[in-house]
Formats: sequence, C-alpha cells, structure tokens
Amino acid sequence: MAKFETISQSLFDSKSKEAIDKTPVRKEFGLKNIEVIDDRHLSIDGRKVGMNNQAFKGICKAVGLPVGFDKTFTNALGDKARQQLVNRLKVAAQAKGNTTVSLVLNPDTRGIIAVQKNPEDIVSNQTFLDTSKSIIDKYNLSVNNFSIGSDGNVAINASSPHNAWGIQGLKDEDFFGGISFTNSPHSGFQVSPYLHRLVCANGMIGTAFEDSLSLGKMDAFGMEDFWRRLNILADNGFRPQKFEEQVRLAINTRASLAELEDANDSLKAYSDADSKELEAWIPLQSTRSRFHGAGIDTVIFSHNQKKGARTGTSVWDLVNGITHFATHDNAFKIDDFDRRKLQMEASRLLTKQFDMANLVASPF
Amino acid sequence: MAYQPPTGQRKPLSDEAKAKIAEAIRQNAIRKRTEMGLPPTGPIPTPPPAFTEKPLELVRMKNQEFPDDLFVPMQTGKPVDLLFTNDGGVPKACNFMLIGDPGVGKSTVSLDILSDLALAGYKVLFISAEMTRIDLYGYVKRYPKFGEVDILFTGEYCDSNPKNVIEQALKPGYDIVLIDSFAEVQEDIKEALKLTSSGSEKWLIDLMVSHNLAGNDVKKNTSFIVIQQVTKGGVFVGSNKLKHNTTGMLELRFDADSGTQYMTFSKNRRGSVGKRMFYSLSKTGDVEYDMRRFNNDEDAREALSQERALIEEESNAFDKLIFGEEDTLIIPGE
Repeated sequence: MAKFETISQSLFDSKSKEAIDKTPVRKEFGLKNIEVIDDRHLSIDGRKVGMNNQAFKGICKAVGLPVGFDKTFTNALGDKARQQLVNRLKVAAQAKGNTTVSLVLNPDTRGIIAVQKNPEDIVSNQTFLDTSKSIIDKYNLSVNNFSIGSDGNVAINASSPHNAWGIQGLKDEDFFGGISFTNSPHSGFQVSPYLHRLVCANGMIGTAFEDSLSLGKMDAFGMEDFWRRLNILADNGFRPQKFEEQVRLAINTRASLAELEDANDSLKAYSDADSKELEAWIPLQSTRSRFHGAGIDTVIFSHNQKKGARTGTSVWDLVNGITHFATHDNAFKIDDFDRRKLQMEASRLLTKQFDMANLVASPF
Repeated sequence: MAYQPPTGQRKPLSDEAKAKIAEAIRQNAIRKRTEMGLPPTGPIPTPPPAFTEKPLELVRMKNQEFPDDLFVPMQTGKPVDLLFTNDGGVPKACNFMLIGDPGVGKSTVSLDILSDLALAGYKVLFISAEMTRIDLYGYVKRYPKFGEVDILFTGEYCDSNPKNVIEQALKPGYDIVLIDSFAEVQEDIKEALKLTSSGSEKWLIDLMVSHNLAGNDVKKNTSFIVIQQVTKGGVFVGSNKLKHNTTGMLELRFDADSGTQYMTFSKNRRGSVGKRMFYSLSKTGDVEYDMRRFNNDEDAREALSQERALIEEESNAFDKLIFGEEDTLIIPGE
C-alpha cells in the first residue's frame, strides 16, 4: 500500500502564519470613485492602480457586462470603446442602486486581483483557517497538504484515516474520505470532498460532485446551512453521494480518444512534460499507434469523431492516471495549485457524461 | 286584477314626501345634538385631546433609589433565560410584547416560561382573554406544570365591569403576569366602557406601568409578558405609547428551511437582539429548547464580528498601500 502522508503540526502552524500574512486586503468603494482606464488599469479616487484580468472580469460582472459579450464587443469595436462601455454601464449600475463594489488587493504586488460585490462575499485567511481547523478537529481529520498561492489563496487537503470505506465487490477500491478546503479572493471559501485511494495514495478533489459547498454568508443562517451540509457529508464518511455509482460506471466504460487527449492536454498544461513522458499516466501514443496499426488515421478525425473512438483504457484508469500524476512526486515541475487543479479535473472527468456511456452492442 | 310584473323602476317621490323626509332627518339630528349637549345647529366643536396635566418633574438619576433585588432577573432555569437578558432571566418591572405567526406556539411558550417561574417560587398570574377553562384543560394534560399557574378567565366576567375585574385581579401583586392577548383585553374594555381604541389601550398600558412601579398591595414590581396580535404581514399592531412602554419585542417565527420554530428579540433594552433560540413543542411536559443550535448561532455571530473587524483592518491597510506611498505602479501578474 502506498504511504499515507500527513504534515506536522509545526509545518501547519508556519503555513498558517504565512497564509495570514499573505491575506489579500479588501475595501469597499463607491462605483463613482472608480474609473476604468483600460483592462489593466483602474483609477481609484484619482490614483492609478493596476489590475489583473480576473479583476477586470469582476468589474465587468459588477456593472452587468457578460464576459462573452465583452470579448465580442472588444473584437468588433476595440479597447477604447470597451472602456467607455464599462464606464457607461457603471453609471447605469449606480442608477439601479448598485453603488459599491469591494476591491481586493494583493498586498505584495499592490495590484487589484479580484472585484466582489461585497467585502463579506469572501473571507479572510484568518477566518478560513479558524473554520477549517474547527472542522479538522471536529471530524478528527489528518492534514495531507497545505498550499499557499501567490494571490494569497490557500488550499488544505485533509482526510480521515480512521474511517476507510470500500466499494463493495471491487478489489483495490478502498478510500479514506476527507475534505479539501480552499479560500480564494475570487471564489471565496469552498469545501469539497477529498478522496484518498488507499492502493496508490492518489488524491482527488471532488469539486465536481454535488456535495461540494461554499460558505456563502457568514451570518447565523449561512453558517447553519454550511454546517448542516457538512454534517451530511461527514455522516457519509466524506464519500460523495454518487461516487460509488460513478466509479462502477467508470470501470465499465472505455474512455474515448477525445477523453484521452483532453486528459493528456491537462497534464501538459500544468507540467513541463511532453506526451511521450506522460505515456505512463495517459497511454495516448500507444492508443494512437493501435488505431494507425489497424489502418485508421486518427489525425484526420474531427473532435466529435474522436469522441466516438473507443480506446482500450477505461475511464477509471484515466481518472487514476490523472490523480496519480497530480498527487505524487513524478520528477516534473508542477505548482501545488496546479496539482490541485488536476485533482479537480479528475473529479470533473469522473462526474461528466462519459463519451462511451451510451454505446450498445449491435448485430450489424 | 291581473298580475303586473315589476318594472324595476321606482315611482318618483312627490315634493311633499321629499320635504317630509328632510324634516324628519333634521329633527332627528337636533334631538341627537340636544342629547349630547350641543346647540341645534352649527359646527360640532372638536373635543380637546385627553391629556392629563402632570406637573413637570426633571429626574436626576443619582437621587433615585431602587432596591438591588429589582435588578436580579427572574430565572426559569431554561435556555430561554439567555435571550431575555445578558445576565440570564426575565427582568423585573418590564413589559415584553410577544408576537408571532399563527400556530407557532405563542401561548404555549409564554405559559411554559410563566409556569417555570411559578415553579421557581415567583408569584405569577395568567390573564386569559382568549382561552376558556376547557381550552386550558387540554394544555394542562400535555404540560402538567401549567396547572400550577393562577388564571383569570376574563370571558367568565362578561356581565361585570372588566376594568374592575382586572384591577382587582392585579391588586394582590405579582412578580410576573401573562396577558393573552393585549388586543382582546383592550377590546373587552373598549366595548364595556364605551371607550375609543386609544382610550382602552391607554388604560391597559397605564395599569401595566403602575404595576411595573409596584402599584399593588404588596409593592411588587410586576413584569408583564403580553401576547399581541400582528397584521397579516406579521407587523406589530399597537400605538407609539405601547411601543414606548415595551422593554422587549419577542417574535416567534417558523424557519422555512428547517420547518422548525424559533424565537428572537427584534427589540430588547435589557438583552441582545437577533439571537435565535430554536424550540420544539413535540415533547410533552416542557417546551424543548435547542441549545446546540443556539451555540452554533453564537459561534457564527462571533466569527462574523471577527471577520468584520478584519475587513476594517484590511480597509485601512488598503488605504495605506494605495494612497499612502507614491510608488511606481505595479501590475499584478495573471
């Protein structure tokens, strides 16, 4: 069995301190005090401040400009027209009573990294850590890792080693359930099921499962709902409700060539590995060779044709390939948060409608 | 004579008949005005407002003296004490209005509080203007402790002067009195004494205030819990005078998400506002309070308050970082 790794209390404490020091700072401003200069700059009370792309998207959202429309508009009319449109919409939003926004600043870079409607839409790293610690203590969880991002975002994976459960009738499918906590200036405090597969110590973050929850409001009503849903998840051993069903389905369903390619692209996007090096996790090259060996040229396949091309790899093997690559030290350079993104990507693959899900036998 | 179907048209009155009717109306008006002591014609003078000319007295609190005991709350020994005051318990010499959705348990909860206080040794009275002995009998079957409470059923005194009945009932002096409901007692007084709504309300409020100030045989500073009706929209019904003489407004509500009931103070001069105490009426014997939820709510309040303080700190840090220094503009990375 692969090793179950936990971090020490002293490492947890030092990481906590670092996370608190890196907390992004929020401040509420009247829309009238903000002027969009272009998609990289804002003027706040006459002071020019830089912002990143996500902050600009946040401003667009706050004034009611859909991101898709923004792209079309900019392509057709240019940046200057877009800047004017955003400022006009800002005035319209004020007229509708939306008079303030909360700007989130990275204290290190002194640039705006997110825009929220209200400062309370996200929580400080202090509150995030206090709440996460109380959940970890309450459910007697062990912390497997703790990551801090450059924007002050924090992620903690914790699992319950005293509470292993298996999928009946399936060898090697035993897990520790747990929780993945994230706090980001964009999406706030989120809690997702974390699944630790015992046989290979792979971790998966179940953001795509319906059991994921976010702390919307910190008032009594919001907290009560949060704890109620968390208790349901805990009572189920931190096992997402549809997990078993999806695993069985994934074991019995072959992945499509498109699914293999998508998984391969994800691994490449978050690492410096090439397809050949990734073969041990995603057997894309060998699969293509088999097709070519049978006289089928996959190069000329459309994406939809690739979705209909059955491979020899099961969806479950593909999921495990991604989680293994994301969880273990594999000699490739991968950022902690990118590892998490891959662990989330695995849950997205597991919960989506498989390309081959509706394939049936035929006498023809 | 053959039957003539109705035409639907009234025969027009003759001028003579019209004059007779007008004269009869005029005579009737004169008679009524004479009965009221008014001249036969002319405008009816507006009566002056019924103010009492109380001599002006400015109060300097350092000259006031009240016994220390007056500020020791009456404890039921139940979690509900935590809602009424910060010290825990129902304060003395105060008036609490209790409002709530129909069927939420206003009478049951208030009787539960009252009987717990009776069992704790306090002298209590229940003035029931809504329920009869038979109605209450059913309650006592479910909650035997309600049987310990002295009750005045005002409906049994329909032929008496309700003002005298209530004044007499309160005269011996109580620690706490429950009135169910204010509107019903007020209506009884209004009807029996031919008073206006504000007149009957004034009488009842003045009575409560006089007992707050120990205006009874044994000089007890009485507290009142008064069930009050609300509009269909759930809004409190009552005058400013009633609001001014109310220490706290306790609201009993259904929680739509969980289907359970909770109570919360929307106004409380002696305790906190907005705290929720969930309760259940499913058990016999006692109203069951959910302390776990209450504590969770308290934790949430504390966390929210901490978060708001942090937002304040962050806001200051933001100003310092952006407006405090004349530095080169830095654009954050993607």
